[in-house]
Amino acid sequence: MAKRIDPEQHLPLTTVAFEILLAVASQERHGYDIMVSIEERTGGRLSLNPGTLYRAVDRLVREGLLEAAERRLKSGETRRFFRLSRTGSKVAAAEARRLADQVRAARAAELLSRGDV
Amino acid sequence: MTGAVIRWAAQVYRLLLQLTPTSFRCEYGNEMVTLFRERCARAAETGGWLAVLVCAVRGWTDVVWCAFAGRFHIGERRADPSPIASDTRLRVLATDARIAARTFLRQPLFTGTVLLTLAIGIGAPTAIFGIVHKAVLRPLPYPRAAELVSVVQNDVRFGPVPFSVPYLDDFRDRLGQFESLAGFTSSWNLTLTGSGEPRVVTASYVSDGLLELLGSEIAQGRNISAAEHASGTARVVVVSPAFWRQQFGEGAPFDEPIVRLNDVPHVIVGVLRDDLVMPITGSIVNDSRTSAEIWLPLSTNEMASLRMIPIMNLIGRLRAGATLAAAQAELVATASVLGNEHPEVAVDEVLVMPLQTLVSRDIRAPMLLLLAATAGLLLIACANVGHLMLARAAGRSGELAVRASLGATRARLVTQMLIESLILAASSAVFGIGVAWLSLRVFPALGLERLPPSATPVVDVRVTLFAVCCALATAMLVGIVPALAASRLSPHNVLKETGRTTAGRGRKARQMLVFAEVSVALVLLISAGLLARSFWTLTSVDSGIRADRVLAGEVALPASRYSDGSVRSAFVEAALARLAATRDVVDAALVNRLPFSGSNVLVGVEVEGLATGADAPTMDRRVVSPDYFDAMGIPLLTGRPFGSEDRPGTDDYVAIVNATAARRYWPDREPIGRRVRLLLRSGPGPWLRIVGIAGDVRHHGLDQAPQPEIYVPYSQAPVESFTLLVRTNADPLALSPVLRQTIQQLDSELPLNHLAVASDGIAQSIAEPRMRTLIFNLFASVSLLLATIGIYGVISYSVATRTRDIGLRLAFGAQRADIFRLVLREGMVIVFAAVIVGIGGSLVFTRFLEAQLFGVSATDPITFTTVTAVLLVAAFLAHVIPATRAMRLDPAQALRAE
Repeated sequence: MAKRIDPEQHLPLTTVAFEILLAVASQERHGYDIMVSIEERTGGRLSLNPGTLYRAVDRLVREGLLEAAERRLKSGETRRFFRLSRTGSKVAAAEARRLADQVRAARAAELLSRGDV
Repeated sequence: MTGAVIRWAAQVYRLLLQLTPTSFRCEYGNEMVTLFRERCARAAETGGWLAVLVCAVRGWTDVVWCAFAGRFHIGERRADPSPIASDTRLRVLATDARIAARTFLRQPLFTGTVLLTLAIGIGAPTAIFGIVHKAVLRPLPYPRAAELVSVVQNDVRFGPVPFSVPYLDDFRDRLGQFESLAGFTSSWNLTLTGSGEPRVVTASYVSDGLLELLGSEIAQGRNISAAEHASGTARVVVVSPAFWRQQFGEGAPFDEPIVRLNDVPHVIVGVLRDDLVMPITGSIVNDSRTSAEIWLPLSTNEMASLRMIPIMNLIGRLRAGATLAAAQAELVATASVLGNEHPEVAVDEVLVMPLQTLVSRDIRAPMLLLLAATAGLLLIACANVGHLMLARAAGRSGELAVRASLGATRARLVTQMLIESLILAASSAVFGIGVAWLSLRVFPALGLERLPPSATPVVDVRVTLFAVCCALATAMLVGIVPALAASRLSPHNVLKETGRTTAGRGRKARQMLVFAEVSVALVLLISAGLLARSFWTLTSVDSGIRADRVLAGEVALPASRYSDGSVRSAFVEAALARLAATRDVVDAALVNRLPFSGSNVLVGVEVEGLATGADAPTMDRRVVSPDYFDAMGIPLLTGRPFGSEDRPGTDDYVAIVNATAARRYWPDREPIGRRVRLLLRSGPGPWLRIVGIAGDVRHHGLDQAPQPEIYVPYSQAPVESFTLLVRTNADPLALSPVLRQTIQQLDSELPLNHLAVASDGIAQSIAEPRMRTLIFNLFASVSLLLATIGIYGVISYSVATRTRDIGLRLAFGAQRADIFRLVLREGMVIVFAAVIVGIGGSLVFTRFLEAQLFGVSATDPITFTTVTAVLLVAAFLAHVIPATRAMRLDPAQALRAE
């Protein structure tokens, strides 16, 4: 019988971890892609070096939030591609909900005005 | 160009990647390098090689941080499940220890053997270290003793020699490197009268500042003042607490009592706090310490102004920041200046050295040798125990294989086995300390009476620490090999195999153990053999006297009542006459300084016809009565003894010289009839006509060449202090009351001191070498025993593991004798190889023994061959039982065995 996985266990995610999950939410990506995607999304603020990136990826894989697969590229090399696992998408969604909740609270406290969101 | 930079940067990145945890690196390493290059390439597009460099540096720091964080799990919310928490780790160790202890208790034979062997192996070095620590490293009981230095002259013949008193002020004025300098004499015997029974007391003449240097103080009264020291006539003294107790009683009120020393009244102005033992730094006397009861001002000593008479030991403390080298340089320069100012006094090479070093100089080498011997013993003990552990580990290979297949890592198994060794070693250390404590009681100070002051070895903190270190080293030595050997077994293979054959795997290790044991044992045995032979040679040296039936007692005639030489002669004649007439007395005689008493008088001598140079001949001077040579059993080789015809004032002064003097100064002429004169402190004496030649007496030590000696008759040189001798056919000590009475009858106020058998000094002079040789031989014998047992154990075990193999051979037609030869040959080959290495090692090691050997060379072939033969026989005997057992195997049973 499959064990009940409670996504709440993994919360809160670190910044890097959530960004990675976001990056692979829509499609599977390899390391360089993830890095570029995060850079673009954050406007260059978060530029991940290989060590930081892969450490986080490694943890996510071990925790079962990411799945890895070797794929052959057009150029002929094989690269490892990462994608969200079922647990991973549940966790990412839970984290997003948590953050949204925080944003609502910030708005209520007038830290954020309508225009910032 | 940027391409090259990127390539090079990637190389460095790869290098740094090695720092990351292995599994992570294996998984993502290549990807990381690729990503790094891509980042750098992207940076090259926008910014050129500088941007690449910046990006590269960022990447490098990132990977280093990643490695660091990865290893210490930084930034992870939850700990990984695999590494065990540290307190769990401790609990696991504790469980291991408990299980190990229980297992050991269930195997009493194994455990007992190991404990006994290691207890001896650790106990011996610990005991010797206890002595080395006290005698060599910390021989002085004074506070801040490590800072004390001594200033001595180094005489070629006698070693460190004292200075004369005038040098104290000279040095104090000129030696700027010294913060303080103080002088004191060796023990000086004075007759105490006027306060109870007259007796002889040990005194020392000391300068100011000595008490401070020795870190002590006055308990009652006051110290001798600076003015009193300077005056040179102050009749004040300070006494030791022991003296005060004996003379006046424990709680007697201090009221500056007066005592008469050599008939001169002195006031006791103070009582010391401690019974200080003072380190004699330089002396022709064979004594390294004096425990003076009475301290007198150095300036009042009758020879204080005589630059030619060296009686003063110098110790001091260097200025803060001054180095020994600087002090030495200054001393040498000062001595040379003083030599020019006083050309009549020859000053030998001068030295300043730490007092600790000086005081322990004789003991250092022999004790370190003993320590080395115990190290050898420990090694052999470890080899024996190592084999036992190997055998035990082999027997457990099944258990270990099961554990390995259940997931125990190699590190885990090795750790557990090391814990077991540690437990064994620690328990043995406790027993070893007990052994050390016991042996230090049974052999107190190893008969080292000449030990520096207060060097009673005791088992204290440092000694215990030493034992613990030995135990740790032992645990490592003994535990690591079996642990590694056992953990290397592949579980699969082990579980497949049957018991006996797997045990054969430790063969190489066992052979190494035997090899090590035999070679170390051989070195020890050869050294012990050399020492034993050397000692034997020493004891067979002719001392020159036959005095075991001679009683000796010291007498000091006080100047007040015996000021005139004729009065002293009269006393002596009367005393000798009475003694000679006593029943049981064969001969009665006297001598100024008893041979082998450690005390001597050296005089410069002018030989008529021989040019006097700076290198004036010196001789030991003995003042004797006519019957001296008979009493002491010294042969008179030619000429005549002293007799009644030798009277003072006849202008015919006579002397007898010994054979060495005759050989040296009259090599091709007859000495009898020739003349010499003694260069006394008061000036040259009268010409002495030689009337006889006496046999040599090896007064300076049985292992030393005899020195020239000159005898003069008492009637012509009536000295104030001398030793009376009575020779008897019965027990000499039984005559003590008679001797005492005779003296009392002649003069009731005259004490008799140091009553002893005249030949005691000889035994005492070799007491130390005797003890050392004994101990060394004891160690060597134990080593031989352990090595033999070790060989027996290894061969037995080897035979046991090869039961099937032997059974096979027998079944295929081998003769029993062949089996015997087989077992023997395999073992003895190792033994022979080890013997060769051992002989080589001995040739190197015995070089260090040379200083201790007398009459035997360090490569004495007789010792080498005899000892090697003994060892080979022992090794052969160790083989006999197992080989016989192998020979008697029933092939059918052997083949069935597992």
